[in-house]
Amino acid sequence: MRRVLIGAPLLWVAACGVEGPAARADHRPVVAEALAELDALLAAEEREPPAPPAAVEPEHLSGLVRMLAYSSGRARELPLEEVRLMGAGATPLLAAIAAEAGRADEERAAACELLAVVGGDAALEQLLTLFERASEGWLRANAAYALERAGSDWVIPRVIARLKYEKHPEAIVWAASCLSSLGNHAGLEALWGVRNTAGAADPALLAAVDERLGALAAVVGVDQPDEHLRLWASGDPTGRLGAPVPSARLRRAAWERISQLSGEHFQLRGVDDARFVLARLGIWIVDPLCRALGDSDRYVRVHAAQCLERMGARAVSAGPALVRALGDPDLATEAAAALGSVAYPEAEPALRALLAPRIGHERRVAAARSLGRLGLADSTVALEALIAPPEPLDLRQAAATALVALGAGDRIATTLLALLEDEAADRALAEASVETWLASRPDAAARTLLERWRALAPPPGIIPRVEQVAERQAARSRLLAEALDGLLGG
Amino acid sequence: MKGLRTGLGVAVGALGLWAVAAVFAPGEEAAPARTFTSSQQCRECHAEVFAEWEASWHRESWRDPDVVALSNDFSNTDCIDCHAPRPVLETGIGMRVLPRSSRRSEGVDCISCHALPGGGMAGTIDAPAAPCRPVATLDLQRPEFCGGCHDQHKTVQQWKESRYFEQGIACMDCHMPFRDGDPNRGRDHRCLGGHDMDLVRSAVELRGVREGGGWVIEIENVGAGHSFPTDERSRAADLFWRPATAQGATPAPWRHVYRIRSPYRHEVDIVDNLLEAHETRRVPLDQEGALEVALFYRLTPYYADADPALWDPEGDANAFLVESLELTP
Repeated sequence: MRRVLIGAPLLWVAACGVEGPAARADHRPVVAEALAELDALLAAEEREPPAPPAAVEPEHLSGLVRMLAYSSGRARELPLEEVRLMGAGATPLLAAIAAEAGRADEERAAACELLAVVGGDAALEQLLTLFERASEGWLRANAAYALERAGSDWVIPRVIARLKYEKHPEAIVWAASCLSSLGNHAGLEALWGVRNTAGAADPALLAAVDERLGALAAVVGVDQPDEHLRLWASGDPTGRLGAPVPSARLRRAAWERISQLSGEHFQLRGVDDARFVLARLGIWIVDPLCRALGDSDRYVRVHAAQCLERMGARAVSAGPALVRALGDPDLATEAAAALGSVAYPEAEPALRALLAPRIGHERRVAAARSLGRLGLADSTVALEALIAPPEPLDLRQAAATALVALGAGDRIATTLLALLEDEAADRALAEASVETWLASRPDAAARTLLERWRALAPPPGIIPRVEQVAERQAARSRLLAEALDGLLGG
Repeated sequence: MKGLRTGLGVAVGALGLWAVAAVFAPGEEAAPARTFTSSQQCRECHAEVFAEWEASWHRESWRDPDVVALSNDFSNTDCIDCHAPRPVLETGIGMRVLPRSSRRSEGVDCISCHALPGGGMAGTIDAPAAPCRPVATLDLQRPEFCGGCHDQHKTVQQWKESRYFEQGIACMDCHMPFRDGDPNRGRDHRCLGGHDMDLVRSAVELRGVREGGGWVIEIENVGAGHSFPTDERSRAADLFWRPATAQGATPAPWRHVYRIRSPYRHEVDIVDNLLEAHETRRVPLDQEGALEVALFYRLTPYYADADPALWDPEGDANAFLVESLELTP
């Protein structure tokens, strides 16, 4: 009795107190420090200023461009070699030729090729500008091809950023090829996208994409192109893709993107691009992102965690840093979300602890979702405790969704039906959960129901109206209600 | 030692009982403070506002089928920042919005706009006895409050460059007016905007002017306090013409003349030509005879419109006729 008298008030005080581990007090201007370090490193590398560019005769260079454009075989070697010797002095004129809309396409393409031969920062900058800004898709494709030949890894972030918006199939093919050649395989997804969309209706394009996919896979010693993509997406646990060491310039370009996450920037566009790029850099970016989790700018911390979340299994090595980040009140929700996505099983107890009622609602929901993504049976009991009132509706739904992922769909099927019927619930998410559950069952009754369920989906490519969505959800509710007893053996 | 432990136990117990008593003792007419985890909780006391919000596009921001399709069911997580934002007063007015993790299906909800960082809700009056502990917060009326999301496409900037800014006419005056014009009835939480065709129609005026034997079509932004259209890049207005239709005859197909819209990020060769507040755009039409012109507006994305000239606005359920004119020489 005495223990109860002592313990109850303490428990009550604890329950009303802090939500989790105390906030970290060691936030620093990490981004500024990293940029300064890299600037110093780059300055040390460039101790000797480059020689001034040699004068270039415009007519002569123009002739070399034409020679390259309209010749083949060994005849091409002369203009290539001569322009190489001209060096950086040729860059402005070559860039002007490549951008000149009135010039023959062959000559503009040749100018791109020669810019790659010249190499150096200025020439690559011109190629990147063409790749980013040229209105002609074929020219962007040529610029990407030239960037691949130039072989400098610091172009990777900008190529990825442009790939986010690129719609021209040929430009996508060569941008993806450029990235892969530089040791970044983030373009493969877009390449497969071209294959499965535009390529399906264009045999020549399909053949070109397949040739590229095969060639890129062969370079890294992978037999099947789809295996190449799987290896990249899974974080390449066997190390077959190799681990290229990023140059100081590439690391600086990455930190520049991290700085774009800052709250100092209002427009989301730059933030969106930065998140897109950072989540697609090599596994080496995990360390800088983990470091950014300690930046003094809250936005940098939050978005760095989001980037790790988006990297998925490729960022599993961020697990310990993310567990530590659970102690940062600004960051705990995003860290909890990322821990599930990166699939760090050691985080399960910490995530389970976040389900406690004294923890903030945002964190509880994020933790429940992440436990579903981790898919460990240890989480089942804690999640089952959340699927009934008085727990908030969306926490109940997050727990139910997680339990389906854990293979406990049968036990919560009536909850799924209730969510599907509840106007206040996320009914689209409930539909997805039911579909996952049905697909996980091997029995004929579930398969039959799944077929009828899927038959109610809109045809591919059709965006339903709001009323049609409501009708579909009502129809699916009825379908599930009618079949539920039979499925559960009741 | 035993006495010390007993004393400590009694002291801690007393402290706990005192704390419990302090929290649960009847206060000065104070209702119990509530923790808000869903905007559904607001319905009990604010039924009218809730009903307006529930019929609004803020409510649909997570589940609108167009958004679901375009975001690939939010696997493009960039969309979450504005479609399910954390409370604006928590992230800060004028700051970029941040995405939230919970109750995403409620979209831009009561909590997004009204929750205060330390608990309680921002409102128009102080009412410490109410369960949501409202605190009068003038910041709710500031355009920058809406700007976290709605200035991402520079709508607030467009307004700041208009005469409405100088006149002190702001977002709420058009998009959240007082119910029946009566300040005592509070503001309309339907937040009508680009989805409301009456409001869209009040934004522009279409005129035909005879010049040099042909027609010049004038499109004037007479009512929008920002560019027309604004916000989403998918929104566009298209001007069409066709020869005047003789009585009883089948109208000729519409022919595309001009498009007003802001390009998507990948469209490097398209110029942003949104119709600024108060601007009149003149579109020459090299046609001499009697004709009909029409301005159509469409919300849904133009991804599929490779060639607007081939688009039949009357055959598109998502296209709305803003205004049409019959012009006779």
